[in-house]
Amino acid sequence: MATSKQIKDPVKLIPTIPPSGEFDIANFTFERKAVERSILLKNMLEDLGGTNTEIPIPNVKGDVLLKVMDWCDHHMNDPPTTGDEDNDSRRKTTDIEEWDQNFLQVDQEMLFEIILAANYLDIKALLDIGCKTVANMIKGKSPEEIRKTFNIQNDFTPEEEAQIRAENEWAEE
Amino acid sequence: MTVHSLPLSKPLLVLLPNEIFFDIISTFDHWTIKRLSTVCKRLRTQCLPYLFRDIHVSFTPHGLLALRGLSQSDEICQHVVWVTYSVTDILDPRVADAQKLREELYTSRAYAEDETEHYYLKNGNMKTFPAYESILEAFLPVGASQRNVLGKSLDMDVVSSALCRFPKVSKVTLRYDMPPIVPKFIPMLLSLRIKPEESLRHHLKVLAGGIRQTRDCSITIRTVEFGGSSKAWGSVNIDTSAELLRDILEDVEVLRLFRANAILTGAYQLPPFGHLREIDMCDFPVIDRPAFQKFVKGHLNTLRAIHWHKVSVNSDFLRRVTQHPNVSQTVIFQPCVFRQRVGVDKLLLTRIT
Repeated sequence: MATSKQIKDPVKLIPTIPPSGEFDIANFTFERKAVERSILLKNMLEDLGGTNTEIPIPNVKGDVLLKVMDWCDHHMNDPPTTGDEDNDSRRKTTDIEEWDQNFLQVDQEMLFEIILAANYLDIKALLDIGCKTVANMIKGKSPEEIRKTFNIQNDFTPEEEAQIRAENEWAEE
Repeated sequence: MTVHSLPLSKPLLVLLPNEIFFDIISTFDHWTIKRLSTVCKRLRTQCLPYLFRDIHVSFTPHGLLALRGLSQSDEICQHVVWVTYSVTDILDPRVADAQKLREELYTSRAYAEDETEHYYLKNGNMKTFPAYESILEAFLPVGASQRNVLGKSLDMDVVSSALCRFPKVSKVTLRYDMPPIVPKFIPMLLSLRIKPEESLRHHLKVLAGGIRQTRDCSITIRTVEFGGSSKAWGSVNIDTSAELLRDILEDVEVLRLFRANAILTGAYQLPPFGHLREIDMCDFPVIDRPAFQKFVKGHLNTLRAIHWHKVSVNSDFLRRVTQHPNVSQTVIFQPCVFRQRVGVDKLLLTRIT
């Protein structure tokens, strides 16, 4: 966890929805470099200037924020992302490195919370591996298996099911 | 904690914001999206733009009825942007009738001669070849399918009424291929099809009918592609179909020709199309240079780019074409720029005024 290390250039993130259990602000102090993995926060830090900054974080639960910052801490020395990564080659690969795979071994609710947080905080690489993880949970599964995995109710009537089967036959391969 | 297996109170997948959901499904192949689209209503709505953006229609009863079906679904119609219509040579009407085929059109004697020649040329010796019945098996179903379409004017009816049901359609591709016959019977096809010019004329008429209807509904087809096999395009000329081509290309902004040399030969004889800004040409082992030169010359006022892929022409030729004395003085072309890609030469001309 970030707090167990010596922090050279600390930034405090204050979640407006605190984590469950006792709330210790010390747990929410992170290395600036890790915080800057979030483009949203990087821009805010640039706007604020100075050091020892505190940033309130709405929309992300404290527990989720800690988890997301765990990832940022691990990846803080990765080369910065560029716009070029928005292309197909980034999307096509389904490989996720081992540390990230273990990091995302969480319950489904947490996985989706991480994806939403990564989207809100603008952390592309994390959003990417989150989406890939969900994609891998869908690939190769039958519709019924997908429903089971994600707890989705089949809300089609038998007539509608017949209709969509016919329509899908018409869709180009 | 075990992974992703907790019983959940709410289906999180269907609650994801659209942009994230699209990120996820953009990595999927068509089949996975199809499966996902049958899970529940919300996922279906999200998958529809991916499933029906490009639709492919074949010149068969099945293909055309599918197009009719699609065009009757308002939910699907709004997503269609690109329609590809795959057509083939049309077989002699007698092919659909086994007796006429056998007695009038292609006798077992003719088959024996053709097959002997074909087999001999291929193998250098003669052996027994398949019984005449194999010809019937190969051609009858194709002939029957085509009669089914042509007898009821299914292609004309469906294509003309369907295209204008797609409010976003802006791109149409006509793929022209040989009929779906096993390759060993292709030599026999020459005796069993109608003239290629007539086949192509028929299909262009269908397409022109469809595009005319879209124009009446204020939908503009901006990109038109002609593609298919070199075998099909190689044996056809389009002189008798010029007026149909004019109808099809009236509003065209981007014209793509893949192997379709006949279209270039037909198009250069027509008055210029007023909006043409890009020509894309691919796989022309032999190019009709005078036709191309005249075509480009006619469109220099509007043309912005010419893309070449696997076309046997050099940059000097293109420079000569674009430096014609009749070129308007307000049009300046920058020097040709070559871009190398794997296996593809691309010559790009850009207008800078």
